[in-house]
Amino acid sequence: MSRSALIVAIALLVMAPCATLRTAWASGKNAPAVASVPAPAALSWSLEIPLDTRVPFSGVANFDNAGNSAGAMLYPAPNAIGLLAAVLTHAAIEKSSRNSEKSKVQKDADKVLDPYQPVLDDFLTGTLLGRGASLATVGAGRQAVLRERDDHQGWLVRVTPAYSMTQDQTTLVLDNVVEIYGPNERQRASYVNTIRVISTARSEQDMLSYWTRDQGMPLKEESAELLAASLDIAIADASRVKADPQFKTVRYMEGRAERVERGQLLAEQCGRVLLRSLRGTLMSAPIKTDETMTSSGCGDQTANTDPST
Amino acid sequence: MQFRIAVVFVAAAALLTGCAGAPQKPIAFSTPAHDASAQKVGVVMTTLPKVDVSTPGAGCLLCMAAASMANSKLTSYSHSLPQEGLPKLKEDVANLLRKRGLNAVVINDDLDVSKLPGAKTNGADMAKKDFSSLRAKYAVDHLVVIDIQEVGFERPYSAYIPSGDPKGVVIGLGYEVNLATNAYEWYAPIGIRVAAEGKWDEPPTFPGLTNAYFQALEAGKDKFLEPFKG
Repeated sequence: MSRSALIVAIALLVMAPCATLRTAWASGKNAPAVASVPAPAALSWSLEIPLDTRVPFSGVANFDNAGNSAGAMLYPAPNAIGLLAAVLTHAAIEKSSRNSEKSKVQKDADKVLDPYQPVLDDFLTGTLLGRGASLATVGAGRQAVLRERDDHQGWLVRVTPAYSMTQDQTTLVLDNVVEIYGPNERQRASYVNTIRVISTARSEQDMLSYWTRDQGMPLKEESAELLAASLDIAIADASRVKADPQFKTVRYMEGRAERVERGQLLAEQCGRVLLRSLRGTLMSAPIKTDETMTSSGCGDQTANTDPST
Repeated sequence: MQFRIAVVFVAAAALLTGCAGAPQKPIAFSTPAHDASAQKVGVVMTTLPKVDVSTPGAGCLLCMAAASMANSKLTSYSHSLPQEGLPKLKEDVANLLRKRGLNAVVINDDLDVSKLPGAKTNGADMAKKDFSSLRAKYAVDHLVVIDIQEVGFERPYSAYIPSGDPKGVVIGLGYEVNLATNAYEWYAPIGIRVAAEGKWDEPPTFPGLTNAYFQALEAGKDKFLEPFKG
């Protein structure tokens, strides 16, 4: 009897959060639909500046050689329960070993940033976002607004940028989660996506001297340009009529190395490609081109927005 | 008792000696191997394996069953992926050889190396199988073989437990045999493994792993073609 009571109690405990979730889901289902993002030409937007924190940077890591070891294992198995315990212990050890191997790969990749720490310590999100908003080109009106000064009346863009540097130090890569909120709506986004923008590789002999000169101005400016490019791409994508181009394998450059990505090619211009990945995220990246090809009328474009906008 | 131990020792020694053959070392491809442009080079492929999931390290029968069950969704999905570009690899190789001034022909048949007789002459850089019969059969003097052994995903195991995440994989061997001497003129084992970016376990379409698969496919094709680009 007491066992039945215990089971009922556990079941209630397990079911209770589900009921809360169901209610939340139901209320979301009945809530009015969020506004569609208008075409960029008719859109005035503000970029929200959150509390100042350090801009997150990491090294571009390659996990291709992590966790490749296969091997046999002899379990001490005096009986079935002993075997099960041995297998579960083995599973726990393997999982922990895999995680620590991945952490080590990332930690080693991050070492590329060691000489940049004085510059990165001084690089705050407020500076980055303010400059990024001023460099963006898409939209009828653009401004940066502090979170506490947002009057909730207009379109608001929230971003979560994360940068990485290639191991050859020639290139910065931005992964930016962009959320766009309609007027009088700051809970449910009209558009959310991750935008990756890869800068064109620099060709300076001494990359450290280049990025860190003038208190790291080139690194900060390049970061802001990537952010602006990601905003332009996201805003153009938010109102784009979704075409369904065929998936193909696209080659692009990341640093001095050629990479490939499977996705839908949305645009190709000025030595860059814009594609939608298999996960639905967007990526703007330089492609291997003849140097003379990019000079005519393209300028120093990091972004690759839809030509129609 | 001592006699029994001695027998076991001798048997073990005999078995282990059989495994001690020196592996073939890679040989770089070089055009001068066919200085006479009149010599014909045939390019052939072995039968392509289907896109699949392999679980090396899951050695015992129960381990294999456990690995198969754990990866059943990925296995079913892998069968839907195309081998994009791999079947025409021999045409690509032949075109590159022609660009280098060689008389190259594509052999349409799939080659089954296991059906060839063993080589009469052994030694360094000599093929283990006797390819000489193919000289008359296809009217070629040299044979470039593209042997793709595994394509799809690979998830390493340690008995019942995965010891790594699945990766996109292309494993194979490229080699060229001089059909007059049965000697290797090019020998290149190829093993490409590409990790998914971020998490991999995203059924039903596994976008991260699918991307890794196509990345491995491109890298594999590039590796096979690279020696012929000059």
